[in-house]
Amino acid sequence: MSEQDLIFAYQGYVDDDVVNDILQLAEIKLKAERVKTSVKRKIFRVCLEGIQNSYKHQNKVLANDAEMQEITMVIARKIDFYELIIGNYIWNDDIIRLKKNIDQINGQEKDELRENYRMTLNNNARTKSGGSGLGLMDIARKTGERLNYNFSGVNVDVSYFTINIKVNKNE
Amino acid sequence: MNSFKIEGGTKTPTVKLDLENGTILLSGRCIPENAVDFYRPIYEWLDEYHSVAKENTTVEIRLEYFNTSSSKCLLDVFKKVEKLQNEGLSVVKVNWYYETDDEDMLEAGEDYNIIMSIPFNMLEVEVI
Repeated sequence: MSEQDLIFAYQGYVDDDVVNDILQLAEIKLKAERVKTSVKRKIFRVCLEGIQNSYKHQNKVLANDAEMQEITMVIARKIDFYELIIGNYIWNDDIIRLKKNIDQINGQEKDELRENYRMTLNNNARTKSGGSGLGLMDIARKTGERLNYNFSGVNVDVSYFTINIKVNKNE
Repeated sequence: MNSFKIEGGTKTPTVKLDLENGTILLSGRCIPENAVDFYRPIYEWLDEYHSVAKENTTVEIRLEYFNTSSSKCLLDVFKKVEKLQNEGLSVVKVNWYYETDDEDMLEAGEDYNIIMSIPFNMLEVEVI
């Protein structure tokens, strides 16, 4: 990735203020991009869901180890699309469940995904972490792209999870 | 019971719950990490409104951004006003505003429209 492609990048400590600052800075950076407002809005929405999702799950790992309070947020400009990379630490025990969840989302056609989104929205339950269970589905719906992911082992308990998202410039 | 207002912030919307006119307005951004806490006073107001509901109730949603945490909370707002209609206490409608070209916001409104039995008007505007 050449520096010219890089719009925004952060890797490091996270708390409420950092999340707010990242979103605020990302929005300012996006304003300067020469693409349609609808694309900027879409990128911002993906950042928003992605980082709030990461932060929420980060908290669970953080409680056990203060060194693991790190998230990643990258926005890069490519020829036809923007690339977003969002990352956080995750318990190894959670990998299978998360992988299954993402694979299921990736396997759905647009209409099917939308219907499942509505079903989850209308389901009264919230997830264990107090989430809506809609974050990743929302990202997949808005971008219309597969969610590419990676789990990189850190130690016997923890891995670093990154998700790689494309937002097309011609939305 | 009185009208109720919350000033908007960088992550939370302006909220105007107008008892006189039976209007419920949310405008701006609704992106707090924990939306449930934010919506609590709105639910409480709507629960009280149930016994004094006006003949017509209008919900105005003029949001630029809302996160998925807020999306379930918004649905709960719609369910509370739908109940008014189902019990014959008020004629309810939702005005859902979206900016020209903002397909995501239009689709979000359509989703609520499919789930709910109250009418949604999709209103395209230049600037939200």
